[in-house]
Amino acid sequence: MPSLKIENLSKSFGGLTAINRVTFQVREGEILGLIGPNGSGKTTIFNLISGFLTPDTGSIHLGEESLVGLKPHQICKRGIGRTFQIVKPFSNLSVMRNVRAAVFNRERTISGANRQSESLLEFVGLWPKRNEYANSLTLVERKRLELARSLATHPKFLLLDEVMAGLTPVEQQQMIELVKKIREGGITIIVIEHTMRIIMTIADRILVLCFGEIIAQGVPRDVAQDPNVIKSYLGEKYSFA
Amino acid sequence: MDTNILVQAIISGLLMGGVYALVAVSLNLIFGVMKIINFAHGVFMMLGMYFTYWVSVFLDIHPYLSLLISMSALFVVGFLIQYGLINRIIEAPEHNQLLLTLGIALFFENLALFLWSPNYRMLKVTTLAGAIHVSRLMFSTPRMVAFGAALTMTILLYLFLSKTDWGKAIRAISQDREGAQVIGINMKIIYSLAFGIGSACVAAAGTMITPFFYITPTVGMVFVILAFVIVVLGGLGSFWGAFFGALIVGIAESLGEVLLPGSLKQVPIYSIFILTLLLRPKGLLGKKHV
Amino acid sequence: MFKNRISKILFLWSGLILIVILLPFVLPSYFIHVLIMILFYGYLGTSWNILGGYAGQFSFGHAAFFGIGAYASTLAFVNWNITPWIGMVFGGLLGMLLGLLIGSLCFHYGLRGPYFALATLAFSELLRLISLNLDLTGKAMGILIPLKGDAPLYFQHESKIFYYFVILLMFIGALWITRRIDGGKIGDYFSAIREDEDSAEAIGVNTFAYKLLAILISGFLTALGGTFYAQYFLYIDPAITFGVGNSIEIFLRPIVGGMGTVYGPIIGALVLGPLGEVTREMLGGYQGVHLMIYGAILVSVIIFLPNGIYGWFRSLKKRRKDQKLCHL
Repeated sequence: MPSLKIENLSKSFGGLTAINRVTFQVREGEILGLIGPNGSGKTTIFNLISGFLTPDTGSIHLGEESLVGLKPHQICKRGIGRTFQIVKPFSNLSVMRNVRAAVFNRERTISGANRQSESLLEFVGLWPKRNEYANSLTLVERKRLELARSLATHPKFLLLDEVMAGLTPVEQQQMIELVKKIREGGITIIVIEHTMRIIMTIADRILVLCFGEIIAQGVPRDVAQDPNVIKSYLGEKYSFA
Repeated sequence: MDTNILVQAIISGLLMGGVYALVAVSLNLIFGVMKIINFAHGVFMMLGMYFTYWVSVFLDIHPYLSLLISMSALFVVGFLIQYGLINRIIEAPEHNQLLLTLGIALFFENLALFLWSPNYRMLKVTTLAGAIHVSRLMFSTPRMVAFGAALTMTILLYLFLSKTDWGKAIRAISQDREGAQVIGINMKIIYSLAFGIGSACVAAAGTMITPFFYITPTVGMVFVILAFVIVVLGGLGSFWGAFFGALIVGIAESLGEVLLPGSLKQVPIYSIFILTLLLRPKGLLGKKHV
Repeated sequence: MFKNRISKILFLWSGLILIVILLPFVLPSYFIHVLIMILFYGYLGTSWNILGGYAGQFSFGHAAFFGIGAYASTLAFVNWNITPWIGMVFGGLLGMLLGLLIGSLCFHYGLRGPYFALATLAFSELLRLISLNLDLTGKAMGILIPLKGDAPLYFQHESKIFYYFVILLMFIGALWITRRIDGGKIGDYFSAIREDEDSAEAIGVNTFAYKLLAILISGFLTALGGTFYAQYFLYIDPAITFGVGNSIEIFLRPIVGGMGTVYGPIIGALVLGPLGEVTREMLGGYQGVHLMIYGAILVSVIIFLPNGIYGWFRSLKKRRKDQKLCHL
């Protein structure tokens, strides 16, 4: 499995620097956590990797191949899937068709697509709701739908943007189990999260972002004790379990 | 090409542009506040023209004297339409709002065709006839008066929006719908007010051009498309963008008339429109992210 | 039980087919005309629906495709005596090319929603202005298609029954295409683009390519409709073909009947067609008086039935199903 390498990535909007010379590598099979205060550039990094934004400078390599300049659907085809911070389901389509649309990325026949959609929906626990319209789902169900949709494209890397936000503690626990199961299936995951507790539970390594720069990298224990990290979170709404 | 003709064209275009400015600026107000694309705008101008026509004919008065009547009437019409119809679909997807105003435009345009027939009507105003001649250039008097009147109204609108409490309320709600409501601004009333004012202004523009423009029910569609071109060019949401865009378009149209045969004069306008949409959808001065 | 249900459906369908086939032979000419108009606008609406309803790209300028088809076949016939059947295909190809042009420009620059709608309007207006000023297209006078009497090979006939079956076949063809799209990958992709373009990209949909596909298909079919119009009414001019009014008539049926559904457009046509005729009878006056009613209907539909008649019907069915589930 090729690795995902980000080097010297920078992006500005107008006069505002969102991302500044970010460099990191994602290792096969790991769950990499990305945390940082609001506006530190986490989602921007996701947008850059997935092709919704183009970097000003720097490179993004999947193995030997550069991803810079590719459109989102091309990046998806190369094996990188993502979810959105504010869930974007296909509201007026049924849950089943939501997933099936994504399955058609890899599957050509209708019957095959239906079958794959079924197993995906079973995996995230949405099969009973397959005929409901997506806009009638609860928040956690929509998040699971988004997960199913991104899994349908057979990603090697999955970018999860604040997938726990807005969920009750019970729902969060279930989601954590789901994410772990996805990793067990061989998919490398990058998670953006706000809550320290979740990141500590789920991530193998953590990147801490502040004002668009990486201020710390490492295993959760070390990062939590890093003085820079503690300083950047002072005064911030910083929830411990 | 005789430079005199070109200069003359620019002047005529500028004069008409002043009227376009009033039309565009009032459309911009409606878009800026409610974020709706108001296809009925042209039809309200047409109604203003007919109002003026009938009042002027029956009361035998100068069309400009009916300004207050046509403006008040269309203010009420606009207010009621926003309050009763458009307010109901504020949360609907954008193209639904477009379709609603289109339906209103269709209804009124064809109602007018039914009631008043497609025959062109014209108001003859002797006091405003003639022109002023400066060296070899001609400044048509009715057009100059219309230009002055439109300009005055535009400035009044600007002052209203920037200085009065109602105006500030309108601007507040256009910038932050929820925030404005939290401090007690009644969204529905303000929206209806803005729509009413926009309609009244465009009706005024209609009144102002009656001395020299043919009055016919289909005139609305022409003006509303023109207004959209202007507002997109100037930048959706920008008052001055609409203003200067109107002057530019007025001049472009006038030059087109002189340089191109037949009805091709509108081709440069549509071409500018498409190019703006493609290359710089924000327009010249627009601040809203498209 | 099973056998009865299938035979019941077969009976209903064959009954419907029989009625549809026999109707023109028993009705007076005027009513056949009404039927033709219903099928005609149902056809155009179905064609528009592929781009506007399914792919979600609301076009305000479909008259552009219509006009190109109408003028292409007419000019080919009038100038070189090429049968309008071939001219129709040629016009369709031109419609596709136009779709390619408009689509590539608009979609490349990311025009969406009302901006795309306004851009298509601008294109159709440009075409109208051009045809208004070209000698080739007869300028404002338009073009009269020469009468050939009973000449089915030249897409003409004295009897309306001929046109009825032509437009019926065209409509069924457009319906079939829509159904094929609706049930498969293309339909899912179109709908995904309509619902959320970013999400669609994120799951691997080449939104640019598929939007282009939608406008190509839609443009092709609409252009064919233009040729039919020319051959049925035997007269075209810039206002009739390229005018905004035509674009409005085209998308009005799908809106009223239900965008993004297979049968929405024909339902819209079935409602608006007779309504338009009745209005014209009652109010007399000039040509477009029915548009007043259409305007009122449009306003009502947007406010009360935003998903069209078919959409409202579907939500009723769903509500009844949900209620049944509750009353266990």
